[in-house]
Amino acid sequence: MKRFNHKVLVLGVLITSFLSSCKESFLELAPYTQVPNEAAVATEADLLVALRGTYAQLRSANLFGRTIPVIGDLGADNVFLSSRNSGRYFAFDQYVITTANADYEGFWNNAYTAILRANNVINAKLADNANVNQIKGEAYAIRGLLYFNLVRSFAKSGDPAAEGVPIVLSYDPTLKPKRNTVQEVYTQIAADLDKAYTSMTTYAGSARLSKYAARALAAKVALYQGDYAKALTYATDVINNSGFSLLTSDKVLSYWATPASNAETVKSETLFEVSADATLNVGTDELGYIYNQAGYGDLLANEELYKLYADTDVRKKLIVVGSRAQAENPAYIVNKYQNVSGDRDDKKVIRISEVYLIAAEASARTNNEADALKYLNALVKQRDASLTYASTGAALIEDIILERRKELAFEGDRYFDLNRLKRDVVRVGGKYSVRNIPFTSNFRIGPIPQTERNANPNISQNPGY
Amino acid sequence: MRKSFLPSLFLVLFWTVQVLAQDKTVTGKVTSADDGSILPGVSVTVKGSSKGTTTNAEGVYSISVPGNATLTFSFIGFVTQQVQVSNRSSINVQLASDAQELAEAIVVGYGTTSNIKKTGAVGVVNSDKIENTPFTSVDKALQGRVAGLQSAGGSGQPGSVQNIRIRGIGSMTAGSDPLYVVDGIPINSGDLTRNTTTANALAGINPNDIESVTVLKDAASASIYGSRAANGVILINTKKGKAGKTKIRFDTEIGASDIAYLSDANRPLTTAEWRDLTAEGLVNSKTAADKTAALALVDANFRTNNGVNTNWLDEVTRVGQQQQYNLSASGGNEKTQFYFSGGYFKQEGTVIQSLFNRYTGNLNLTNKITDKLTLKANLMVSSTGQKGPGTGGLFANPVLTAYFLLPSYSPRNADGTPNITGPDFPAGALFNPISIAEMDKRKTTGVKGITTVALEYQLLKDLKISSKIGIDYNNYEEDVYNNPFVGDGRNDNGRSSRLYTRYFNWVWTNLADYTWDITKNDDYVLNVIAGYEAQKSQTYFSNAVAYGLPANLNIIVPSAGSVYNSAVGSNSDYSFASALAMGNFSVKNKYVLSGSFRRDGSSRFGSNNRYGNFWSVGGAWNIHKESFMADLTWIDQLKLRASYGVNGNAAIGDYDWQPTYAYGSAYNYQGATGSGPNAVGNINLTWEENRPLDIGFDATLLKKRLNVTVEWYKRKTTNLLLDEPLSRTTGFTSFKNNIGSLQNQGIEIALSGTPLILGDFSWEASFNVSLNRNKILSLVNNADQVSGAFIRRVGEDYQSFYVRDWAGVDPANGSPLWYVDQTRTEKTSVYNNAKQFIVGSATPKAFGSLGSTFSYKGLSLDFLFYYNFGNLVRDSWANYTQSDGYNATFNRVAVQLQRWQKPGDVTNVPKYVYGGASASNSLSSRYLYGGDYIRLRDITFGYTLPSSLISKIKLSNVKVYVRGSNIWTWVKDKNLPYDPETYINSSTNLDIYLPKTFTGGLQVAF
Repeated sequence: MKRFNHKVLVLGVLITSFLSSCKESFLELAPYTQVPNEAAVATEADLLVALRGTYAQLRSANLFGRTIPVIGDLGADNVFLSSRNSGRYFAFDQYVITTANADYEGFWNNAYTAILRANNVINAKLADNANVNQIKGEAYAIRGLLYFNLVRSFAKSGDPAAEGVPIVLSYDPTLKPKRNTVQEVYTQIAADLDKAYTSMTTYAGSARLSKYAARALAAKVALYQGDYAKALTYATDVINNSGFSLLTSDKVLSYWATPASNAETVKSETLFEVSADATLNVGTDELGYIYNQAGYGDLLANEELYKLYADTDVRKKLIVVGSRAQAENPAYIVNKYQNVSGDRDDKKVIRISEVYLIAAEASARTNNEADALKYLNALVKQRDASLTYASTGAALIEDIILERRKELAFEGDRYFDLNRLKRDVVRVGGKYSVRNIPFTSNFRIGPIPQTERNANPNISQNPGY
Repeated sequence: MRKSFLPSLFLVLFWTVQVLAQDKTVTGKVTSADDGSILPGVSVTVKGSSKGTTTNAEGVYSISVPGNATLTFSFIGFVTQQVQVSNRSSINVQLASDAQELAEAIVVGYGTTSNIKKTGAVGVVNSDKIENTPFTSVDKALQGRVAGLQSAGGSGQPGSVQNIRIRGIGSMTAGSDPLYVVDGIPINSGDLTRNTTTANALAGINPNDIESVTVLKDAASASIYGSRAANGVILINTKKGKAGKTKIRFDTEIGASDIAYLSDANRPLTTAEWRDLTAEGLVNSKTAADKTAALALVDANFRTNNGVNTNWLDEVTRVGQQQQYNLSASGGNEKTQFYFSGGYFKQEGTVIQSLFNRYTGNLNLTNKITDKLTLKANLMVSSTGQKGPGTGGLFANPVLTAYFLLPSYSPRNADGTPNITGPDFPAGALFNPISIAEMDKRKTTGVKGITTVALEYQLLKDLKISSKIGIDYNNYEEDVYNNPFVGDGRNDNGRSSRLYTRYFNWVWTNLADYTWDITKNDDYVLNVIAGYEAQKSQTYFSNAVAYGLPANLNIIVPSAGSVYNSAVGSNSDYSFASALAMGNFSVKNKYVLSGSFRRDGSSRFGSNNRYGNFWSVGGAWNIHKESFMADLTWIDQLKLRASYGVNGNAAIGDYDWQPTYAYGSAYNYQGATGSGPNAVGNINLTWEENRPLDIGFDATLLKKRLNVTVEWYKRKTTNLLLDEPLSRTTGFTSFKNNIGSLQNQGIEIALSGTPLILGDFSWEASFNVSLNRNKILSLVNNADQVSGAFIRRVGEDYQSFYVRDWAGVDPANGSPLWYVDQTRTEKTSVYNNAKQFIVGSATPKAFGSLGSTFSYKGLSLDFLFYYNFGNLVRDSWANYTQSDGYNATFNRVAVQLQRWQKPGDVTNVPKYVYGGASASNSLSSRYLYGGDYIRLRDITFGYTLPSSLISKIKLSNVKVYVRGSNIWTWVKDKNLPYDPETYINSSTNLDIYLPKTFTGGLQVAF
């Protein structure tokens, strides 16, 4: 019995020492590339870093990196899918769009991810100063830009009372929001872009948003809302006060061949573009890769679009007539995106050329045809020296719409323009299997992704989905 | 210690010398009964006295004894023998090796058990089933060997990963692989590489260095591994030295491997066949007016009339060479035992540029420093090299090109160089696999080391304490070079990437092992093992990627590049701290009660849930020990056992629980640092909890001629880690939460025995079957989750295929038909009008093996059939290879020739329309096939030369053999396009073909 007690004692001592030797800190391991949320946006320097992260999200192939510009052209009549293709964006060519459509889903998810990043910058608890205001101003502009793209893609144009998209202005993972009305969303966009305009003071190059880039976006938003007076005011503010120069005809080709963005010393043409460079890009998911024949080369220009450019039009050279291996011959190959390796093409979001077109259309629609022609011809002169418009009335408006199509082709504008104008998509030319998509078609706007509806019972679906 | 030991030794010696004069002297030699080798260090004692000696280096002893004495000869690893001296003065003894005793000791977690003491479900595979196989890692060799263990590999890449599932799939998003423990060290396993198509950390262990593998399946055996035991535990026990004459063993084999299974239905078309089919498609699509015009169009565009008919499948496949050499030495004496080995293994895959080789070295030492203190050390090091192409839809995947490239394209130019330009291989189109194989490089080099150092101290007669430090080290260097001329590197003027990954994992285990024989007659015995364990695994990695390489195929490293692409480096760590205790109490060896407890803390668990308790209870009743069984002499052993407990699955991300902002290239902009919120986090996140119940019985009957084990189990896994969807408007799509649950329930039956012994002829046979039923019990809001072709639905199998059901082809017009719904009463030719429903599962209903060994004198014939029934296999690429015309510029497979051509044709293949007009190739049950198969996994014919012959040349064992692996396969569904053996999800992905291997080998020992 004595021996037994001895053993129990030894065992007891051993076990106690074993159990007491685990230190709590041994189990507290922090990740190497992440910090806790509260530590992430604590200083001005952090704020700039978080702002860059917000810009980086715009690069996503689901946003400006590819999907938004592709929908903007393929959904209309500028480009079509080659018979030899990689299977991407089939739905927009065929107009067979379901609630499971991965492109719309990616667009939706990634837009709100970017909005979260912008919200965190905007909501950072830092005292106001010029630098903080500039950074937050850029975040406001990004948020406005994203809500604009969401509302014009997921809600029908022209009905302010219709359901828009949910407005989320701060981080809350438990959120299950309803949709705000189109009007509410546009009010938010205008507020964000105004705040951006008043907050920003510096221009940091064309890959960053600036005071006048925000104003140019606001002009475009006003145009979409049909507030032509405001659109005109904003557009002329940019034209007269931004210091940005219009791209001249001799520089058009080199402009499109250059993949880099403008430095902070250069105020030429591009008000805002999303940067993609040699290392920070989405590789084979780049916009250029789906146009360039050295990449997928799936998207080919409609020959009817090509015919719209006169031989004297410098932009005609942005489409190359060649052939696509094992497929179309001749093929009208888009040459706006030439850099599928190394430094990739930046994605133009707003250019001063478009601001001229906005000014022209806003003038025409506010019965100031002289100004309309002035702005229109100022641009056209730099594209086709032999062309001068002198039209009036509805014809003038049509000429401006036509010039929008020609100037902004392959930059993702045409389809949204037709939506804005409540016009049918009538595909003449090209190899399309579906040629007429009336404005009344439910497929002219995207579905609220099924995955969103599964997770959020409060959100309603668009008609027809 | 030393101090007290030495004087007593002197005392013994002195006393021995003193009594010498009174008694007579007996001398003799002790040898092994197995091979006649001399045994030095054998303990020779006089029974009933404390007199004793040991044999010398020649195995000779000399001892002085009284006339009527009995001598006891004892030696580690041999059966103790007692001999009456009588009047003899010379006594030579042959000791029989203690194979029986050793076999009975079953290595389990933190100790050993025996058939009598065990209460849990444990499977053991011994070295003879693992050695000298053509399988690159031990997990592949386990297929069919253990009931309840599914071992599935979908790639024939040598060195590829294997899926092991023990008693079903136990998790949805966390790991479902078992925990691997090598000599007591929980190791990092699975595919640890980052840029290699498939690799397997276990391939760094030479199977010839493995003594046995123990598979722990239930709570009683596995719960001692706590939060990592839910998917079972596989203990790998390496070879140790045995005292006795040093044994040298040399094994070598050479062989060849070829594709194990090809389906006639899936043969790529010839030029003539494709030309005709495509022309028909052009007519059907109204692109061509008639067949003549269509043929002209095909010829003009695809050069189908220039006499080229390339069989791309032949171009990319080959007969691979295979060889291995293993040399080992083992031996030692009572104080020190050693085992040392070196090995080389090389295998070429069935597809060009696919290769694996391995160099291994292993050293194992045990030294008794004193009577009470023992040092054990093991060092195992290997270097592996692997080459293999990409898989799936990569243009550089040679298997993809075998089916997709047109036969009218030439692999080579007239001068023999690979054809990389011109109309056959324009930029952006599929690559010529020949050029990729010759010009690109993909190489992964791995170094693996597992080392343990342990000290054991016998504190008291029945209390042993031990401390063990183990290190599990892996590093991988992954080099990929894409040449600037053709393929993936073309647009970037060549690419070179170099990835380095290192895993450093240390484990420190301290244990006390206490045995209390209460009545000192083995009737009431308590064994308790308790201790603690700390473990930390650190991952370190870096990437360097450069583009723009010189136009020189010999310059392939990133330093030669001109365009910096990426530089990435980071780490990832996890740690565990655990306290553990296990006990076992037996009463007269009839009744055994066991219990285990482990408290695990891990850095992977959220701050609110950092520690968990895991436990088990088990009981066993050795019925044959009861007196009422004494008359039933045909029953040698009969045992009933049951266990229940809780264990966990901690195979979750290292930092999943932490809500964080991240930095890195996804957030950087314009070359400057960016950040963004990357994880919602969940501070409550914790392990998945598994509760296994097991009831089993073991019987040994008819003078040990028949062994039967039957097990029934049910394990319920709760707190499954699932992605709980969030409204995307929050900026996140989901966060990880412990919500789901599922259940696995099944029966395992294993039979083995010796049905026939006729003189020198014997027949040993084995059979096992595993039947598992998996059922999802709960999900997020119990809502269906559709994941690719699968649906996760409450009440259904985890791997249920959820597709539209194919209803064949309308004989009137060749349109595809699908059933409208599950009733299968109505058909539709509109894909979207057909509802998806569950058509079957990717998990087999039954699998197992049937094997036999026939021996006659030195001859032996050994075979093992593996079978698998009741699952469906999906061909993920049939929407291209059997597209009915969609993606018309790719080749098709032979089954497409059965297409509908005219009204009245009854076939399963729709009308062929160039460009594709219907949704006939959309996902449906059309591309699901019966997965039932039987395969001759192994057949070996061997001849062991008679010892009378070889002993003359001082050899103790010589065996020659020929072996075939996977050489015969039967599949039920003749349309099954690829090998029936796939990864667990039964989905093919244009992987490298599994090989059938023929080898011839030689084993020599002396």
